[in-house]
Amino acid sequence: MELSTLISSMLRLGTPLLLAALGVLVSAKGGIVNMGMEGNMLFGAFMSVYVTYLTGQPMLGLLASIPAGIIYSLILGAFIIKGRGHQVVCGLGLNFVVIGCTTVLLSVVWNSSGYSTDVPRLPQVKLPFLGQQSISLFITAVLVVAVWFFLEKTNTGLRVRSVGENPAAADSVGVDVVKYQFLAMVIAGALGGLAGAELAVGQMGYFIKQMTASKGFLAYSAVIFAGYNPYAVVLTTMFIGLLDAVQMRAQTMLNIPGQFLLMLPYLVTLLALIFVGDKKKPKAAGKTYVRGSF
Amino acid sequence: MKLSSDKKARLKWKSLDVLYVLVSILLALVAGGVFILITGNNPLQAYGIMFSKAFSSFGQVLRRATVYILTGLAVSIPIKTGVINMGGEGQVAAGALTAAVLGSAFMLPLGIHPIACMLGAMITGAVLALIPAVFKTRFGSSEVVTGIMVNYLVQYLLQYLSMYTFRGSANSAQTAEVFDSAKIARVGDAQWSYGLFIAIALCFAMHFVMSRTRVGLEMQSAGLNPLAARYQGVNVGRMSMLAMALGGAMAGLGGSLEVLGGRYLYLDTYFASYGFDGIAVSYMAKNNPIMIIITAMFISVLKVGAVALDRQTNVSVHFSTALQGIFIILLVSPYIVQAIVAKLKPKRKAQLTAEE
Repeated sequence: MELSTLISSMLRLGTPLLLAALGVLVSAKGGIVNMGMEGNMLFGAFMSVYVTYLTGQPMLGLLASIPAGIIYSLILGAFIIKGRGHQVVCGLGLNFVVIGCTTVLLSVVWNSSGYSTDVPRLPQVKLPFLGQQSISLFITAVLVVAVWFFLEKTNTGLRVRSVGENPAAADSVGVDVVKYQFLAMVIAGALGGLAGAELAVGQMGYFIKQMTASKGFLAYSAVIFAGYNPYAVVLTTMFIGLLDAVQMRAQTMLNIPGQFLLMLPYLVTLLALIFVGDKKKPKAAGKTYVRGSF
Repeated sequence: MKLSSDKKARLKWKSLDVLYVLVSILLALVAGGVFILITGNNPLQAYGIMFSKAFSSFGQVLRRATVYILTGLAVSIPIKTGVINMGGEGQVAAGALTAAVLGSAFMLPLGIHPIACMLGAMITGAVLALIPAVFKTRFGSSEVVTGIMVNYLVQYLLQYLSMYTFRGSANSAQTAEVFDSAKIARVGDAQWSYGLFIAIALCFAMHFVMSRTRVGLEMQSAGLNPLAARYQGVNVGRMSMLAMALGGAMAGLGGSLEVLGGRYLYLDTYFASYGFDGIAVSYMAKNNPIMIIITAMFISVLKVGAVALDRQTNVSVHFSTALQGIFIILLVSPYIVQAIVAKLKPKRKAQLTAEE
């Protein structure tokens, strides 16, 4: 098997994960454990395919996934930040809402219980050595640097991080905790929406019921392995992408039952959690800030 | 009857809890109705189809509720101890396969056989639930993420086992039917079996264990405030592992009851979504084991109704998944519902004074 095809499919499988992981990272830095990323991606994927189906323009589909993701993320944020809901359970609940709604809408729009019709994909570029890639690969590369720059080099990013580390201290010096947490959720939502769109109109060219298949949770694990560092996230998500690529190649080449190969990314993620734990987690992530009782 | 002020206060809190749950259900049904409107159907008609179907085939509701009660318990016991059991999905299916294999592999005397199958299923479920619990206590990794990873591993493993190792049919990935000696009798000609009584009895047993025994109270204290519990000498890690194992055993038992009293064999993907539905069952009951009996029935009604809705309109059965998601998020973010109730209250008071 040639190295370049492996790398090419690694990039294709890793890009949606990377975008989702960046979203999880930004919200975690703002103090919110984003277990709703799964639904965020799925909603972005659905809206991108739907808009592409209506207009015939995959670029419009990609753009539509951004407001879709933001709306989803704002709803989750409203329940967590304003409603003081349990962060993990709220995220899981909203995932169910999106899984249910998109599957119902799938049958309403395309009259099918599993697949949508084919829609045009994003423009694909043939790169030397890296094979065929959708143009969102370049968008993703820019976004990695942008997220790093935002978190590490801007005042706003510093405030977002302060809210995630110690909201009471941030509040005492006049940082509006609620505002910056919502800002983190907006960014996470946009990234998650793009992740879904990259999966749906960037690569597949159609929508399948529950097509994200726990990629949101894999992205969350990738952020943990990366120690909440935007550049390390690139490595960990690409590693999971590589595992998936190896698994797909091995299906056709080796005589191992497919089920055991399909387990590979999940198994490695599970084992890796043993060695990593979750030590670098922002201090206040998972706890909702209530002024005066924190 | 005269009540002490303490009891009165407790009663008031409990009734408020019930009020919030009812308001949340109402809000979720309204939101679901709006969604049905978007799909181009009449919401009232759709709910009519759902609830009338559920009451016309109530046996089916009871059969599903048997599993939901146990998957609800599988979530509520760990939640009370401060851990979330996201692996219910895998535990139910693995328990079902265990029961189907034990039930079809060898003959045992009539009374012992179903018990052996159920015990096997409970052990399988408990072992699977222990994986995330051990990861959490030993390595500090989130039990939600590991639970979901374990679900996927179990899903593929079971697919393999039912396709090759234990395959009992040429046409589909399923095991052989269990022997008659392993079956749990159905009640009359109805769809549901005496397994329902096992499930209900376990709810009361779990309620007793959680509120009246030392180990149950230690588990609860670990959930309420792990730090304080540790100072009191409670081994928090061991308690969360125990709670997860108990929860996993319940989920495994749920899968086995559906095999022994319903389907009589393990069929791949047939046991999907029972585990996730348990999360809604548990949260709607405020994690109270006895309330779970009622909420399991309710979720079961929704599920059976959604199947009918799927057949008669273009709204797919997954509509009930969306509704459950809305229940969950409304119930875990109390401030949203409280704010709505509080908005309604002054109006009512103003009305009352005006009437006077």
